[in-house]
Amino acid sequence: MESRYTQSLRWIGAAIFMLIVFSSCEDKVVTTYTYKTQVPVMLQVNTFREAEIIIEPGKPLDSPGKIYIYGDYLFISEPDKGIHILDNSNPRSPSALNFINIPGTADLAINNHILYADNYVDLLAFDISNPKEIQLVKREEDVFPNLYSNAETGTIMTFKDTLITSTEPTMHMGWWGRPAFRTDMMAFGAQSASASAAQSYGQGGSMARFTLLNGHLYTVDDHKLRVFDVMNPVDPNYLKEISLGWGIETIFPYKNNLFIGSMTGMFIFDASSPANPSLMSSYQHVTACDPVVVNDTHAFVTLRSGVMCRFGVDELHILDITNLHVPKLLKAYPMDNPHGLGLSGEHLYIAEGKHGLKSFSVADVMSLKAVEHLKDLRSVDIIPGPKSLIVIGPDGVCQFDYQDPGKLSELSCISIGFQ
Amino acid sequence: MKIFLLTYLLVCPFFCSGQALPYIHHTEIGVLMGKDAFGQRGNFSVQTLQGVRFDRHQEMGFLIGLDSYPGITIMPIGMGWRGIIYPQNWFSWYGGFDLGYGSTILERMELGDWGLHSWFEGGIMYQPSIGFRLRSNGNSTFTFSLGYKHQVANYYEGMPSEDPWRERLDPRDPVHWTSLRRDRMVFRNLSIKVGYAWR
Repeated sequence: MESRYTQSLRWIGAAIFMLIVFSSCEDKVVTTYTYKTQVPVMLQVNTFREAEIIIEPGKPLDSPGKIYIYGDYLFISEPDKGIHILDNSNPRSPSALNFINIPGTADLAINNHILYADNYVDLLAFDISNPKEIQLVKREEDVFPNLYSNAETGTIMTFKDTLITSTEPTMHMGWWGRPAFRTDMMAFGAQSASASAAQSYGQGGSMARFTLLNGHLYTVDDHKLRVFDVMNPVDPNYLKEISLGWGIETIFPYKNNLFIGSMTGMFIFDASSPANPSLMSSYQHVTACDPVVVNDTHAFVTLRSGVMCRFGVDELHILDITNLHVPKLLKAYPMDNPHGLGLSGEHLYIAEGKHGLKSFSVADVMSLKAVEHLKDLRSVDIIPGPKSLIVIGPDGVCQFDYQDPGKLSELSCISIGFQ
Repeated sequence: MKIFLLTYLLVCPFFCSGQALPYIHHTEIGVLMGKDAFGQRGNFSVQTLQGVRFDRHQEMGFLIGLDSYPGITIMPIGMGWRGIIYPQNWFSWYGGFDLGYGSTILERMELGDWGLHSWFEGGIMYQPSIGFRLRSNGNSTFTFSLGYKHQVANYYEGMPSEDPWRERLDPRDPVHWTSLRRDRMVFRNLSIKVGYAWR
């Protein structure tokens, strides 16, 4: 049997060994960087110009972008993919008719049975007078040239979400964010229902980037307002572009004026000469994302914070626009995270993002009265349509009976993944 | 959690015998010595083990502690084993092995400029050690030990991606982040501890 002495020596030896080995150990740090970035994907314009626009049977919603109503039809866009057409003659049971497959689309507007939609750099016009027999009637080429990386070779640059993981610290300098024109935060839709002689326009939401007024189609992208003559609806003709600075987001027509929401403020254009809209005034605010709706005397502007609108605040601004040359802020109300908004008479509906849908009585703009708050209805934009209040959100499209403005009653909801 | 469960299952045959075993308590305090990018470091450590003696030479129980590393405080939670050569003698060598999870529950998520989120997450901890015990009276002993403590922890810095619908951010889901940086840190320590054990 080994002696205590030998045993102790063994233990002491082990202790010295641990001291020597472990005291020289160094901590280890392994850093991994994961980036969600957008990898540029080059595309030749002739690849999508030559490809046939396919009208598919109605299909489930995947990632709804914007809503638009025209007559008894409801149009729901899927950014970059196409447009769903639904028969909404009975808002209690809208039914899917078909899906126009339009790669690279973002916005739409409808004039006299002609649907305008963008297809990367081109503007397409579809005859939808028979929604079961949709025909492409015109392709106006190269009218949205901001996507071109090389116009001479016909190469456009689109972006694909990509996740990159690396242990290289240099990856830290990856760039993020997609060009504003293609972001779905700038969901589209357009304008209040209006009709000028021989023209019948549809109605979009407050976050539209396409709108129709006096026989002209107006589109906004990040920097520019573009004007198209659509007096002959089947033959849209590009007229001109007007630079607006940066961060242009939404366009809303009212009477002979265009109200353009940007990250820095609201621009008011006089469009009484439709081919030559001229800037009347602008209302500047802190950098925030902001759609606009208006009536005869007031403009309602929501400002929201977000990653793209970094310094943003979450507020509703009410402006006196009786003198369109000098819009005046009357009052700002705190909000949760307002996105689109819709005005119906003396009631204002505000899509509060994940905070739900709110309605207010705006009879006295200096003392807004909260009427209702549907907390569970995650919402982005609203159209107060003739038959129903249509609300779009990340979960789908819901319609409400709003004849009693104090109490919205649900008519139907189309959820993602269901027709 | 998996480690915890595994350890529990391993020791259950001893604990779950239904026989009343004598309780033991072993509390230690000491320093964790290591080297990081800035040079030598010495950090405070305290730990207590509450368990049972399941035969003359072996003790086992649950442990909880507190280790302060540069910039982060970790709370190890797990199981510990002690093997004592001559439990009846006033002097005896002993060995130990601790296994568990180093929790960063004491560290909060911080929100920086431009919405940058930073937070810690814990990781596996194990610690083999050897030492000796000096009996002070009938049922209590002083302990002196040297060990190697291996502690994994993670530091994250993430910029949330724009998604107004997200109710909460999942650190593990890259879709929730525009950019996410993860530092997997392994603290390798020489631990020098003094303790007091009693029944």
